[in-house]
Amino acid sequence: MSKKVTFDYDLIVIGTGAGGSAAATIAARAGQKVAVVEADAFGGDSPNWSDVPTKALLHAAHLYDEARHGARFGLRSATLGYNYPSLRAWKDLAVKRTGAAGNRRYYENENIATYHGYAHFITPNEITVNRRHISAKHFLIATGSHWVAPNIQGLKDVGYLTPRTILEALRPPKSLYIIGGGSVGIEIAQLMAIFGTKVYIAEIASRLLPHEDEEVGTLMERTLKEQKGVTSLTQTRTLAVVKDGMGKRVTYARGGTQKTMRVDEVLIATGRVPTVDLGLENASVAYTPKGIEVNEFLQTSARHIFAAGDVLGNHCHTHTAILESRVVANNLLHKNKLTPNYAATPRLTFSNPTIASVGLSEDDCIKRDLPINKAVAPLNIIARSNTSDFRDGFVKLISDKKGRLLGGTIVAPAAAEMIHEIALAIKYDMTAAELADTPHAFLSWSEAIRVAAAKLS
Amino acid sequence: MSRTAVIKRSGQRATELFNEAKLLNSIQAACLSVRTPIGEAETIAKNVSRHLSLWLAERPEVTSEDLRRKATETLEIYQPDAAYLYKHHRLVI
Repeated sequence: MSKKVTFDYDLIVIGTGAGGSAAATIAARAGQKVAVVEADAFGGDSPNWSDVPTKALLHAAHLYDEARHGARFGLRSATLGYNYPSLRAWKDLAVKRTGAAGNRRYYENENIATYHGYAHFITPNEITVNRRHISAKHFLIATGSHWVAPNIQGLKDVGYLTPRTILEALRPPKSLYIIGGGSVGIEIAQLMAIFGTKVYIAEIASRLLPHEDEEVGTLMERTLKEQKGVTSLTQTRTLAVVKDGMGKRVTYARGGTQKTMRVDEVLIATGRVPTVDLGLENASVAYTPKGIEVNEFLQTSARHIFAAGDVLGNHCHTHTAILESRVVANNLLHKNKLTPNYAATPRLTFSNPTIASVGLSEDDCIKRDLPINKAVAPLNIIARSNTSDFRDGFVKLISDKKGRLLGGTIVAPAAAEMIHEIALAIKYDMTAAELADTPHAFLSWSEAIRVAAAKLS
Repeated sequence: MSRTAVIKRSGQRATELFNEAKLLNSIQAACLSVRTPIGEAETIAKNVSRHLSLWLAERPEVTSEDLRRKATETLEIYQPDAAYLYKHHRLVI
C-alpha cells in the first residue's frame, strides 16, 4: 500500500500583493490551510510603493495646481504654497490607511500563516524561506514585477531613480530626465512639474503614451508642454549618462543628431519585468523572461502551481491581478473552472486630465483588420465644460459595423469614473444606440459619452 | 564568503554551505578543458563567482542545480564552449 503524502499547507501563496492576497483570503475562509510568503513589504507593490502613494501625492498636487489657477474663478491664490515634508507625511498616512500596506496581522487574523523572506522552490511541492522548508499541495505564484533599468551606458554607475524611489525623495529635484513616456512616466512628470521641477520625458516611440490612441498622446504632449512646461522628447534614444558635479549629464540621439543636457536626476520608467527568479526550474514551471506561462485556468506547466498578476507579464494593473487571483481561488476550490475575462479591463493614467481606456483601441482594430466605426465627442461641446472652464479632452468610442461597442477612450477630469459605463457596455455586448438611449445627467462629464454614442448609432 | 546553504542534488547528501573556492575551481577546470589560457580561465572564474555571489546575497538557501544553472548562464557570456561543458559535464564525462 502506497504511503499517503502529507503537506504542511493546502496552499502556499508567494507574494502578498493584489495577485496573491485575494486568493489566500478566499481559500482560508473556505477552510483551507494557507500560508503566504512575502519578500518585501506585506501588501505588495500597489499599496506600499506605487498606486496608493503616487495617487495620494497626485491628489494633493492637482489640488494645489487647481488652486493656483483659481484666479479666473475669482479666487485669490497668490500666497499659496506647499511643504514637501508635509506632503510626504500625507502620502504615508494614505498608505497606512489602506490597511493592506505592511499589514502582516491581517493575514494572521484570517488564520493564514505568514513568512517573511525570499521563497525559493527546491522541489515541485516544497519551497525554502530563510532555510525553513515548507510544503504544500498547491501553490500560487504572485511575485509581481519590478522596475528594470534599460541598458544605457553609465546609468548603473551614476545611479537613477525609479517611480518607487522618487516618492521617498526629500524634495523634488530641480530638473528631471524621465526615460519612458508611458502611463507611469506621464504621472510622475506631471507630479514633479506641478512642484516646480523642470521635466524632460524621453520616449523612443513617435508619441507619448504609445499604447493609447494617437490623439491621446498628442493631447497629453500639448497639455504637458503648455500647462506644465514639460519638454517631450519623442523619437529619442538615451545613449549615455555620466556624473556632472552634483547632477548628471545625459546624452541622447534625436532626429539623427546627438545632444547632451545636464539634469539633477534621471528616472527610469521604461517598464517592469516579471519577478521569476525563484527556482522555478526546480518545480518544472515553464517561464520566459516575459513571464510565467499559464493555461486558460491560470495553471502553470506544473498543474498544481498557479500564477496570477504581473508575474504573467500580460497586464500591470492591480485590478487585473485581483481578477486573476479570484479566478485562481475558484479553480482551486471548485471543479467548475473559470477563465479570466480581460475584455472589459480598464487602463488608467491618473494625469490631469485623466486618461482611461477599455477594450480595443483604434490601433488594435487596424492591426486586426477589423471593420469599425468610430466617433469622437470633444469635451468642449458639453455643458460641464463651460461651468468647469475645462476644454481639453474627449470621449472616443469604437464599434463594429453592427454598432456593437468594441472599445472606448476618455480623456477628461473624471475619466477614471466614467470609463466603467463603457466597460459594462463592452462586457455585456451592448450597442452604441443602447448607450445613447440611456439618460445621462445634465452637467455631468458623462454627457460626452452619450454624445459620442449618439454619433455612432 | 556567502553564507548561503546549498541543497545537494536529489537531496541525498547533506546540505552544505556555499564554497566559493569549489565554484572557482570547477569554472576554471571547464575553461581549461576547452583550451582557454590559464590566466584567462582564472579571470573568467573570478567574474562568474562575483556574479554568483551577488545573486546569492539575498538567498539563504539554493539547490546545487540552481548554482550550476546560474554559473552556466554567466559563463556563457565569457566562454560559451566552457559553458556547454559545464552544463553537460555529467553527461559528457
